[in-house]
Amino acid sequence: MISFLLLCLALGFMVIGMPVAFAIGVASLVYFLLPTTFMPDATAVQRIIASSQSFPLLAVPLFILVGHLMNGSGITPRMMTLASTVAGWMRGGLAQVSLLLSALMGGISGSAVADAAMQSRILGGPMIKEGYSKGFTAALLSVGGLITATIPPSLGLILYGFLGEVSIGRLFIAGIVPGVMLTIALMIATAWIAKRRDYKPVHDRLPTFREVIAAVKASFWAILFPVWLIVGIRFGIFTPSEAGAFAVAYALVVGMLIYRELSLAAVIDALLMSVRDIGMIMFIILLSGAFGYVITFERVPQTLAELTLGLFSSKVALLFTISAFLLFFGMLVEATVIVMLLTPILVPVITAAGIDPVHFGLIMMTLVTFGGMTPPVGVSMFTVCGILNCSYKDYTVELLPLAAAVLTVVAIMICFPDIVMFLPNLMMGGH
Amino acid sequence: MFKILDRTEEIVAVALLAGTVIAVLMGAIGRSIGYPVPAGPEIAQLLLIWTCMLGADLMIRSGEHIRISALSDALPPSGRRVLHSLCVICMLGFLAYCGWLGWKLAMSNWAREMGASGLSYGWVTLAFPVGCALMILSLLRRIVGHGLLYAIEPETRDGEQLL
Amino acid sequence: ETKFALSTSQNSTDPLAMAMEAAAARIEDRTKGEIDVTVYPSSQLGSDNDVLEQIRNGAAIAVLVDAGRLAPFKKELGILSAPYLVDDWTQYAAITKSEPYKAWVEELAASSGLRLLNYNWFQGTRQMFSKNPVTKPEDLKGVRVRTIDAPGWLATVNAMGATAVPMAWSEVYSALQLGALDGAEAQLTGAYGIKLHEVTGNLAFTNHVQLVTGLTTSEEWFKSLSPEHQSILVEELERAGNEASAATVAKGKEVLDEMKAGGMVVNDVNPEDFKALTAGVYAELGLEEARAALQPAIDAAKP
Ligand code: NA
Ligand code: NA
Repeated sequence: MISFLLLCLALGFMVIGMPVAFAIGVASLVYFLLPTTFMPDATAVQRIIASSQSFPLLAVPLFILVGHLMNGSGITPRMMTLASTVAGWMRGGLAQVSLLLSALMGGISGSAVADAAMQSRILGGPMIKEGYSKGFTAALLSVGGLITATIPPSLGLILYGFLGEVSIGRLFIAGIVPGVMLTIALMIATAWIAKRRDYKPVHDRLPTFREVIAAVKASFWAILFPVWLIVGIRFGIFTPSEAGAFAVAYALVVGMLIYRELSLAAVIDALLMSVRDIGMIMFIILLSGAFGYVITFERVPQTLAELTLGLFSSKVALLFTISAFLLFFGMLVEATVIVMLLTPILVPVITAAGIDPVHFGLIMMTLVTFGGMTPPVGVSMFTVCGILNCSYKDYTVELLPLAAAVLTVVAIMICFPDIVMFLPNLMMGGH
Repeated sequence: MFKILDRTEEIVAVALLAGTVIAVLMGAIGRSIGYPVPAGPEIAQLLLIWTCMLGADLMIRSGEHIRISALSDALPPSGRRVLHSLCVICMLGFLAYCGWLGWKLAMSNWAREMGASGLSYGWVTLAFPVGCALMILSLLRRIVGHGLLYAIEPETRDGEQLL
Repeated sequence: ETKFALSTSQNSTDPLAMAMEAAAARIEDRTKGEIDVTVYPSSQLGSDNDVLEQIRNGAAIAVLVDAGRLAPFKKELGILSAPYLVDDWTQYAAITKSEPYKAWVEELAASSGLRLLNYNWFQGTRQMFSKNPVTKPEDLKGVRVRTIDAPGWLATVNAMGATAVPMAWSEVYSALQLGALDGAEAQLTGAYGIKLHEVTGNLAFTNHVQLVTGLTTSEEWFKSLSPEHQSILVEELERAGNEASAATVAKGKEVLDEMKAGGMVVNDVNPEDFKALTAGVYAELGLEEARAALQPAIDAAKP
C-alpha cells in the first residue's frame, strides 16, 4: 500500500516537471523520512551508492561510449550505406532502411535508447522532410531500438543474467532469432503503413549484386564485430560483462587504424558526450536503487507473485499473465528499474513452473524494453520526441500498429519456446 | 573562475571514463593471459560512480536531465514559476540532506574495505556527497544565471508541444 | 513492538534461511509479538558489507557474515576464516568459548558498534573444484581459481599454488563454461546450487577453510532491549545456528552423491600438502599473535 502511494508520489513529481531521476529519488527519500520506517535515513543514500557497485552494470556506460565512438569512427555511415543499398528500394524506403540499420547496429550497440537517439539525429530530419509524419517517424525510430536491444550484445540481457543468475552467454545467443523476428515483423507493419500512405522508396529499382557486395565490403569490419564478439565470449577471452570494454577497443582500432576517420579530438568528444549521457541515465539507475529497496522491504513483488502463481497450471497461461503484468508495469516504470526489481523475484517463480529462464529472459527483456517506448513514462520516447520535437499524442497514435507487431512476436515467442531456445541449445549444449 | 572549474570538471570526468574502460580491459586481458589484476573490477566501479556523479552535474549545469515538461509547458509563466520553484526546492533539499548523509556515511565507515584492492570503500561513498555539493552549486548558478523559469530546462529548446 | 530483520545472502530454500525463519517464529512467540522478526534472504537488503554499514548506522538488522567481513573493524577476528585454522568445524565451539575470542567480540562492539551475537553457523568446508584433476599443489600452477574478493581469501588461494581471480558468484558458471576460469573454490552446497560440477568435473577435498559464519547486529539496538528480550534473542539465534549447521552437513552429503552421480570425479589429495603452503598467510595478514592466543583453545578441542 505504502509502496503504491510512493509510486504515485514519484509519478506526481514527474508530472510537475521534476527531472525523472530526482522524482524517483525524492519519493524514495520520503519513505525513509516516515516515522514508521525503522531503517535509518542513511540507508537511502547507501542503496543509491550500492546500485553503482555492480560489475555487470559497467556494461551500460561502456556501450554508451561505443555508441558515441561509432558515429565518429566511420562505422555508422558505412552501416547506413549498407542498409540503404539493401532496403532502399522498398516502399517507405527510409523507414525500412532505419529498421535494417537497427538490426545491423544491434550487433555492436547494446542499448535501445542509444540506437533510437543516434537514428533520430541521422534519419529523423530526412524522414520528416520526405513527408513522413512526425509521429510515425518518432515511433518507428524509437521502436527500432528494440531490435538493437534484442540482438546481442544487449544491456538488458546482461542485467537480467546478472540478477537472475542466468548464463549471459546463452541469453546473448538466444537473442539472435527474436531480434531477426522483430525486424521482419516491424518491416511488415511498416510496409503496410507505407502502402496506405504512399511513402516512397529511396531507390527506384532493386540493388544490383555488385552494389550489395561493394556496400558489404565497405562495412566489412563493422559487420565482423558481432561475430568477433560472440567468438570472444564463447572462447572465454572475456566475460559478457567485459564485452563492452572490448567493443570500445574495437571501435577505436577500426576507427583510428583501419578506416582512419577517428581523430583524437573526436575520441575526447565522444568521451565527453558519453559522460553526459552516463550522468543522465546512470543517475536514474542510481536513484532507482533507493526505490527498489523500498519495494523489496515492503515485499511487494512476493505478494504479487504469490497472487499470480496460485492461479495457474499451464506454462503458457502463466507466461501470458506475467507478460501482461510486465507490459503494464513496463509502461509505467523505467525498464532498468523493473529488471532490477523483478528479475530476482520472477526467475525463481518461472523456474519452479518449469520454464527455461533463458526463454523467459528474452520475453521479459523484450516487453520491458518496449515499455520504455510507450507513454506515460518511457526513456526512449522522451529521448526521440525530445530530439524530433514531436508531441507525445502523435507519437502514441502512430505507435499502435508497431506495438501490434511487437506483441505478435512476443506471443509467438511464448507459444513456441523452441524458436528462442533452438540456437543456444545447439551452440552451447542443453543445460 | 567558474570557467576554470567547469573545464576542470569536464577534463576530470573524461579521464575517469577513460580510466574505467582501461580498468575493465586490464582486468579481462590480465585474467585471460594468466596474470589477473584482482583490483581491476573494483577500480572500474570506483571510477564509474565518480563518472556518474560528475556527469549528472554536467547535465544539471546545462539543464538537460530527462523530465516531462508537458504540464509546465501548458501553463503561463506564473504557473510555471510555481511548479519550477517546487521542483527546485525539493531537489535542493534532497541534494543537501542526502549529500550530508553520504558525507557522514563515508566518514564513519572509512574502515570498510572495497575487497581485493584493500582500498577504503569510503572513496566510493565520497563520490556521492561531492557530486551532490557540485549539483547544488550548479543548480544555484542556473537559478541566478538563467532565472527560475530555465533553472531545470535548457534555454535552447524551441517550443516542444507535448501531450 | 520492535521490528527486527535477519539478512543472509543465501536463498530462501537454503538450510540457513530456513533455520532463520524457524528462529523468527520462536522469537515472536516467546516475546508475545513484541519483537517482530522478518527474514530477508538472497541479499535483499543489500550485500553483506552494505548491511553491516546499515547496522553501524543503527539499523535493527542481524546479518550472517564470515569473520573476514569483520576483520576491517577488528583485525584479530579475521583469523576465524583463515586457512587450516582447525581440522574440523566442530572445534569452533572451543574457540568461541575462549577468553581471547570473547575479548575481541567486546572490543569490536566498543570500537565499531557491531555486536557479534554468535559464531556457530556452519556453511560447509571450502573445497577445490577444477577442470583438470588436482592431486598435488603443483597441479594448481597457473590454474585460474575463483575466490571471494577479500585479501585473506586471495592470499589463501595464491598460497595454495593457484592464481586467484575474484569474480561475482553469479558469473562463475558461465565463466567456467566459456573458459574464462579454470576452477573455483567453494563449499559443496554452494557449488551444487550453481551446478558447478557440470562445468568443472573434478573435485579435490583440500579442506582449506571451514566456512563458519555468525550473526552480527547493532550494539546500540541490542543494548536498547530488555535483558529478558536480549537473552531470548541470543538463545534462539544460537539454537538456529546449530540447526542450520546440522542441516548443512546433511545436505552436503546428499549433494555430493548427486554430483558424483552427475559424473564428477573426486581426486585424492593430501590436505597437509596445501596446509604447509598456507602457513605464511597468517603472517601476511598480521594474524600470528591472534593465532598464538587461540592455540590453547584449539589444542584443547583436538580429540
Ligand atoms: Na544489441
Ligand atoms: Na512506458
